[in-house]
Amino acid sequence: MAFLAQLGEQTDELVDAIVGIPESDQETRNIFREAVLRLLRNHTYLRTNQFEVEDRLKGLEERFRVIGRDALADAFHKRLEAYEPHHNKFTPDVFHFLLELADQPAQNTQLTALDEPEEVPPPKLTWRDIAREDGWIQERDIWLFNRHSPDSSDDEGAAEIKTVASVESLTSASSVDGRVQRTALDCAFKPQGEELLQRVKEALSWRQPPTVVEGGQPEKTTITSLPLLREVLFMLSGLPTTIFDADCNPSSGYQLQGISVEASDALLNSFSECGRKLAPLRAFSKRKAQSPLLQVFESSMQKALGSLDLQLASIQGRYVAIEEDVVVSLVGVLNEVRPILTPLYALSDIIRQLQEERNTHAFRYLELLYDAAGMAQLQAHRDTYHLLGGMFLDCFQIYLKPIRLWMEEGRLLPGDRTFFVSESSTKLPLPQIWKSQFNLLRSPEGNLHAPRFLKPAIHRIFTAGKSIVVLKHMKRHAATSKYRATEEPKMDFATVCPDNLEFAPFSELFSSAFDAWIQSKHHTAAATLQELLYTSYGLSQSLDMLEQVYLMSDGSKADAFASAIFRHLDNFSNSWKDRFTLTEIAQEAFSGSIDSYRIFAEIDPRTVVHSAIAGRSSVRVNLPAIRLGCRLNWPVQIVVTEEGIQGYQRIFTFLLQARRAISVLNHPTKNFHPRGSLAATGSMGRYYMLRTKLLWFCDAIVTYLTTLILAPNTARLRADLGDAGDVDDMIRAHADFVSRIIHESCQGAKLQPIRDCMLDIFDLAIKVADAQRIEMVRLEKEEHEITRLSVISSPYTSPVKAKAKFAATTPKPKKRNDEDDDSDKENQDLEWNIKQSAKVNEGKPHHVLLKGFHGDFERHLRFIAGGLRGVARASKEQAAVKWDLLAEMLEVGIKE
Amino acid sequence: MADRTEKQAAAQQAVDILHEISTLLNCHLDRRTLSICISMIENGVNPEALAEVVKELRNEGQNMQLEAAAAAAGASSRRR
Repeated sequence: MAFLAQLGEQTDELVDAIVGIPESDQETRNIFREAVLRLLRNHTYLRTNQFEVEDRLKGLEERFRVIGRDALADAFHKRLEAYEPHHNKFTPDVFHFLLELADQPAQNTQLTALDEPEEVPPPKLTWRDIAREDGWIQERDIWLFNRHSPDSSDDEGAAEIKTVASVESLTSASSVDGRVQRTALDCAFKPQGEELLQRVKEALSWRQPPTVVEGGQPEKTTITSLPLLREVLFMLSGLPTTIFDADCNPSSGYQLQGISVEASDALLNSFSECGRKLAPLRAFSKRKAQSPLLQVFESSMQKALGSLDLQLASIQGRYVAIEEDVVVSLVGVLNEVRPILTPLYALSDIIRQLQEERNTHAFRYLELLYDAAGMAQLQAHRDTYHLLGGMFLDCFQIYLKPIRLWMEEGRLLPGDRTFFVSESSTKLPLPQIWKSQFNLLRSPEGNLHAPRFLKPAIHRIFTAGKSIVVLKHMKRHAATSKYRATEEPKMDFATVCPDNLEFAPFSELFSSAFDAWIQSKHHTAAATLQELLYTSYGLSQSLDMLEQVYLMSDGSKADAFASAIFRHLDNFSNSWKDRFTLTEIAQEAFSGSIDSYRIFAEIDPRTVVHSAIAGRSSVRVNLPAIRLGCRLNWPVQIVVTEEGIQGYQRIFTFLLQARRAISVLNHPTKNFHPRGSLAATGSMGRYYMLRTKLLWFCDAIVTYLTTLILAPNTARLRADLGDAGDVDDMIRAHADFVSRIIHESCQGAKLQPIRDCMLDIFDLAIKVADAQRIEMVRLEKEEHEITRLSVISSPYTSPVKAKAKFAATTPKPKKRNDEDDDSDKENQDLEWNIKQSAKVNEGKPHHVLLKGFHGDFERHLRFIAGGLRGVARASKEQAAVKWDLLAEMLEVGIKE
Repeated sequence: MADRTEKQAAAQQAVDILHEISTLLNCHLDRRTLSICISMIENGVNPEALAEVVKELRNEGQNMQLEAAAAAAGASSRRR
């Protein structure tokens, strides 16, 4: 019977599905039902033959392929395969049924039909349907609330779970999915704290803005101390409150209970003042700075604020988690909070100052903190002093980092704008590293880009770093680490400002601590560098070499060089003008003490005169063109700069000029004693006198230079170099030395006229010597002529006398070397000279010339001596003393 | 319970495939009808007979619709 009932049901559904009779028309439904049942019962069909069904299916697929509908065939085949796993005993029947209903699939089937959605969408599910189906109205229990507290039972929930349509077979009549098990309303529950919330709202009802009475003062809401206290504490913690607005101004709508309006306002104002002062602090601490220096400042500020918040929280705790009786007193809290806030006011002032100044560099706050800490200490605000001092030293640690890196390794942090050392971007040659590779940054006004309190120490820091850089280049950097025996001293507040030194000024404590810190880093590098300069790089040896070459400290060698040059000049040869020849001469001359590769020579073409004759006529030409050079290694070149070498060169030239004059005068001339006129004797005497005077003058100059200037100054230079604290001092000492010798030897610009006068005297010496030689030659010729004539004219002469005369007349074979060409040349040039001088001197007789020269000499000498005295008196320079001495030496020779 | 859902899902899948096959065979069956027929076949109804029934019902249904349309047309013309 159950089978029949089920069948009946299914028949009804089938009829409904296919025909779609309305429910109202039960009669028709019944009719249909009966008909269907009858048909189903009384049929003459056989059982399904599954093999036949299979064959039909295959045949159908083949048919699809034959007629060319391969896609259809493939889809069909695919579906059949997909159905394989679901194969059961009714499958052939189902397929039989489908095949019976098939309506010319080969022609009519469209594959797109597979993609179409259901033609009849299922009717939308509404809550009403569910409620109706599930019968919610009947079951009241589901509307009860579930208590989830431990003592309640949860089985109400379980009972309400309704499963709709437990499906045994798939074919459920309703198209509702029926998976609704728990509804949202089931999960809803009523909140419990309704009363508590109500109470809290009443307590805070004062927060509502009071109703404004039209045309009158708005009502002031009265509040008790405790809420006001809470508001105040929140405001001080930086939280938004109702009574105080964003600028910490109290709103005027509130009044404290039990006191007058003015008193209440005053109290509120005093609190709001505290909050106002803190506001910039809080705002600043929230900023996100980029540079580490500012970040550390922000973090220390945050720490300070954090400790304030802790204090405020502990105050709050007293009132909230009450452990003992406490009096709610706003004034008491104010008094309690004031000393905590006072140090923070100082910080807030600093922030304000920082914000007022524009375009400040990152370390400006360090300066402000330093000043403020010192001020606080002087004003005996201990807490403020501790806070500010601690913050300053904490932030200073970060500032120390680039300094440490620079002093220990000579490196700079890339992109660091706060450090005051900058590196030049071009790579400079080694000797210039010390001077130009690194520079101190300066602001456009010329101030150093460093905090004020560091100014005294900056130079040392800079030097230390530069020393490390140079040491690195010397590859001796490792040597410094062995000197660093001491750890750097700590620079925190407890160490720098210990309690027992509380009365010492902060600036003193800081500078002494910082000095100690620098000392631990600075000492080693500079000392090592100096030592290396002396030991490995031979600074003293280089200086010796320079003195020998330029300052002619070894007279024999200098003489060898000078005489070689002068020989060339006197021989009218131009071969010395070649750079290589000159270098060879120099190397040979100094070969005893200086390695030949170290010396080289050059010709400065500006003062070279091509004509050999003109070249030897003055010390002003050719001689200044000779430039000697010494090859120094690059560390020594740091100390002995290019300017120094030029100074040396000037002294060298001057010495060479003086020696030239001396050598010309000392040149062996033919001592020809002519018999003859008194005039000749007189002129010889005059010549000798002039010569003596000139020699005396030149010797005086040379003596002055060597004994009074060069010797003491070189000794002083050695001493200064030995005393120098660092390389900068050494450079300065050497530069001072050079400038001193230049000034004292009258080579400075101020004494230019005097120097020119001296050179005139040297030239005069040459002229005198030349004139004398010419005169000698002339006299010799004359004598020769006279003797010749007398020999010819006189018939009888004693053989001895004749021989003597003959010997006297014939020019003695010149005991010379094999330079006959040169001698011929010399004779030729001499003759030419004679002619020139004849032209120049207009045929003046020799004694007149000599007289003229003598007069010139006297004049020059007086000028020099007088000039020196005058300048010495007028100037306050150190060199004036030496000038005075020189003047005294020269005045000896002035005859009144 | 999980077993049941699995079975349900499998059954659903089977019905889907059968529906697709019926579409390919151009049976003009919608899903609901098909599932009803499948359950009837599983209940023991002869498939050929059932197919016959379906065809008959379709014919009857069409006839009824035609009659209803004709009646409605007549009523509207009478009203005018």
